[in-house]
Amino acid sequence: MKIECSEIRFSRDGFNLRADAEFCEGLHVITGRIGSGKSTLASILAGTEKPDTGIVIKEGISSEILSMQFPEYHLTHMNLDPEIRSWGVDAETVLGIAGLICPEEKDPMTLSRGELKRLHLACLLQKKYDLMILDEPFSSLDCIWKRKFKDMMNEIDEGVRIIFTHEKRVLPEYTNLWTISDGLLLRVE
Amino acid sequence: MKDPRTRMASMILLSCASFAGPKAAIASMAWIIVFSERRLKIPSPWAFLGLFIMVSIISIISLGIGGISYFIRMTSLILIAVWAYSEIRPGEILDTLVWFPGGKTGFELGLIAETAMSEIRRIPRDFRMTRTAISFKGKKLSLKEYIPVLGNILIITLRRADEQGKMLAVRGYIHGGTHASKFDTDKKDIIGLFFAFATILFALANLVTYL
Repeated sequence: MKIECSEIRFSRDGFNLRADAEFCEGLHVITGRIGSGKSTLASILAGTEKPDTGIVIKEGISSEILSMQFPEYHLTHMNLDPEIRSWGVDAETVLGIAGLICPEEKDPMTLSRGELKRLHLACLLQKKYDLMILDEPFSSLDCIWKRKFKDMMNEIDEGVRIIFTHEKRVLPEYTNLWTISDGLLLRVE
Repeated sequence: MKDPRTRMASMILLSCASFAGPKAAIASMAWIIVFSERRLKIPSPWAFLGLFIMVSIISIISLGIGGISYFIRMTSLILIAVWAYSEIRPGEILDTLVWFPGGKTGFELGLIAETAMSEIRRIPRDFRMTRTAISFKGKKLSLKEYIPVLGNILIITLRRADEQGKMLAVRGYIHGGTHASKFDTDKKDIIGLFFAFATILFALANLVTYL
C-alpha cells in the first residue's frame, strides 16, 4: 500500500510546486509555512487538483479520504444526526468522541468552527481508510483537543496517512517528516 | 474595453435598452458580440445554462402573450450580466464609485460592492470543495442535497463577509476613505460607449413609434 508522486510540477500565478516522493504505509507529516503549497499538494495527492506535469500513482489503495482544512465544506445535511450518518457511523458515538452535548436535530452550521472540526475528525476517525490525507487537522482546536485527536491518530496503525500541517508542538508519532520549502517537497532526515 | 467607467455606463445603457424591447435587445446582443473581449469565456457555464433554461421554460409557457419578446430580452440581459461579470477586475468598482459619486459615499458603496464581488467569485470554488467532500463520502450530489449544500455555502459566504466587516471595524474603519482612482481609456472605450448610447436611442425611438 503506497502513494507516489512522480515528477509533480504545479504552477499558478507565479507560485511553483515540485514534488517527487513516495509515501508508504505509516504516518507522514508534511510541514511548511502558510502559503507554501501544502493544501495544493494535498489536493493533488487526493486527485482533486491536476498537476501541470507528473503523475500520482496509488498502489493497493481501495478507500481514501481528503479532510479539508475548513470542516464546513464536508457538511451535506442540515441536522447533526443525518450528517453523522452520512459518514456511515453511529451518531451517539461520534457526539461522545467530539464532546458535543447537543440535540441530534441541531443544525451543524450553528456549531463553532472548533466544534465542527471536532465533529468532522470524530466522524473521519471512526472509519478505516487505506489513504487518509488530512489538511491542517489541528487548526481551530485548542491544546486539549489537539492532544486528544493526536492520541486517536496514534492508535491507527493501518494504511497511508498524510498530515499537512504547520502545527509544530502537537504532532502524532510519524514515520517520516517532510517539509515544503521554496516550492519543493523535501524529506527531513 | 479598458476603462471600467465606460464599461459600467455601457452596461446600464444596454440593460435599459434590452428591457425596452426585443429589437433593442438584439442590438444589445450585437454590441456584446462586437465589443466583448471574452466572448467564449463564460465564467460559470452551468449557472449560465441554468438561467437560460429557466428563461426558455417561462418563454414557452407564455407563448402567445409575449413569450418570444420575453425570451429575447431576458437572453440579452443574461448576456450583458455575463459580459459585465467576466470583464470586471478586482478594484474597478471601487475606482469607479470613488470617481463618482466621490470619496465618502462612493468609497463605502465601492467597498461593499468589492466585498460582494470577491465573495461571489469564491462561490464556485466553495461549491467545488463541497462536491469533492461529498464524493469522498462515496455519494453524488443529488437534488435532495442541493438545498443544504447551497444553504451552507450561503452561510459560509455571509460569515466571511461578517468577519471582514469586523476586521475593518477593529482596524478603525468608520466611514469613507481616500483612494486615488486610475483609469486607462482607449479608442474602443469611446466607440463602445457611443454605440451603447446609439442602442438606447434606438430603443427609445422604437418606444416612441409604439406610443
